[in-house]
Amino acid sequence: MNNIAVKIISVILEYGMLFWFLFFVARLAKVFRDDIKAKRRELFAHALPHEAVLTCIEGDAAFLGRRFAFSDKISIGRSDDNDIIVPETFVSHNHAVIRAKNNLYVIEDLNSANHTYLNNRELKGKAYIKDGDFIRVGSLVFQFGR
Amino acid sequence: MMYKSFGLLAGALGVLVCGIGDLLLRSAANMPNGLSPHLSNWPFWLLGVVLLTLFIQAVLAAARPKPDPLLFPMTMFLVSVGVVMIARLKPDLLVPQLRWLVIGLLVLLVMLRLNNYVGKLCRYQYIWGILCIVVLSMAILFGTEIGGSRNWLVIGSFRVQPSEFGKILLVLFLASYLSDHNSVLTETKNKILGFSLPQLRFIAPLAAIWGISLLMFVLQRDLGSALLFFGIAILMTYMATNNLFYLLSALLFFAVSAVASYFMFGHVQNRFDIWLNPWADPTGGAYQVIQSMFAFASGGVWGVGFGEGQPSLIPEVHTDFIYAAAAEEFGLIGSLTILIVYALFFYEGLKIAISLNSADKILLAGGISVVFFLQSFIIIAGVTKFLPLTGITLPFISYGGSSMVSCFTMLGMLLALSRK
Repeated sequence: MNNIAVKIISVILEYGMLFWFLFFVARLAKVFRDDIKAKRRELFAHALPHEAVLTCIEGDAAFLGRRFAFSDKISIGRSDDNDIIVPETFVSHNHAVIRAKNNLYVIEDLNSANHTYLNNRELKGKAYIKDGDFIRVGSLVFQFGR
Repeated sequence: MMYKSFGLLAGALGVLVCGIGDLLLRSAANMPNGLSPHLSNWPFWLLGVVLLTLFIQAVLAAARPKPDPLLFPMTMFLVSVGVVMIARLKPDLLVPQLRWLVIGLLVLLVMLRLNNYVGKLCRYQYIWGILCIVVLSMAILFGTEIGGSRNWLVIGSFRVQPSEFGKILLVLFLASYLSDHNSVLTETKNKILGFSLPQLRFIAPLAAIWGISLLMFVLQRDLGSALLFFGIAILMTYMATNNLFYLLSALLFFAVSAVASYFMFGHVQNRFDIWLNPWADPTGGAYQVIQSMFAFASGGVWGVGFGEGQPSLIPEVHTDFIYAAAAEEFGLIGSLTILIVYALFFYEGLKIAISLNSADKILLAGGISVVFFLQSFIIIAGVTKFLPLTGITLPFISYGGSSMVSCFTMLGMLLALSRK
């Protein structure tokens, strides 16, 4: 009788260990899930609308003060297939392009002869741009805004 | 968030209470594998560990700014699995293990007290580099062979494994060196085969680490530590530079030296042949791996039950092969739980790393996480015959004083870094 009682308690303790293993994993899973949920909420709370605007703040009268709103892509250049057509000899046919990427915007210089300048620095290849950045193409300066 | 970590700690304590309770019951009823309360003064040490754990948890909960709430409960869960397994496998080693655990927890407490200094450790890059080389070469020059590897230092009755502390120094050195020289290492000076390379003199310290790990491998027969050091160096360099060249050239170096050592050294050839076909010599060289696989097989999904298995058939079961013993007695559930805890520990460590703001701290936190991840991966892969066996301790679970103290030191550094 005593032996059976010991055996039963022993088996309960052995399964008890497995119970605590599973308990620990379940608690851990819940903590991590809550953590990831909170993180996601935080990320989306700061998500910006999927639209941006370029405002011309320097240049000749034809452009000064004009605003170009876009959401996915906007291209700048001398030829007619661009969104912003700048009839200047210093501006290449396809000069630069701004594209949306993962809730941010990326500017790319399309190997223009006289370069694109981002915040007064020559742009090499691609760069992320943020609200308030200045983009110079030829004699025009645009301010990027979201 | 903090009350959740008390709940997690309850899980760790539950494993400990059920396990020790079962062992005491077994000895009272004269069943096999019991733990005699007359063994020695282990209850006092166990009580000391539990009280110290609760005290540290209270310190962590009260600390402002808040440290990471999950690392410590996860660690104590692994520790309690280790303690019950050692109490069951080698009751004689329970008191030494608990004593090392108390020392480890005290070290952790000291690291938490000094938490402002941890971020500044990266200022002393060459001190860490030189210390690392001194510590490792001490083992190479004055090492004593225990259990097939010449990686022990014996000072009187005191035995230490220098490589356990060498890895902390290595992480400190790499974090400070790589963050300091990041610009020259990523500079595009020369191009070879489409990869941009820095100047040779900036790669020299990294090449030196590769060389030292190769020396450890050849002179000490310490395959596990060599692989660990090599892996830390590669992964931290890749983290710092984002340059695939380092990764690929290290892999090439590894492949060439692996093939060369296969033909040059008998013990390497042995390990590899055992891995390829353990059934060629099941009672000789492959005995350990075969017994480990039998342990996994007999465990099944639910395990054979704590104290019901035959893990003592595996040689070195309380250090390198403790995972196989846990798999036999707790089954797939227990072994997956341990794996999940290590994986989430790594995740949590990387989360701390990317939340930090300076390159040296990011590399330090990332490097420490990589140490825990690689070490548990290397030994679990070896025990399950996923990779050739390379003996190394399972962090926080295996028996071993040096391993326990160095793991708690790294945990303390990670917790200190997590306080922003």
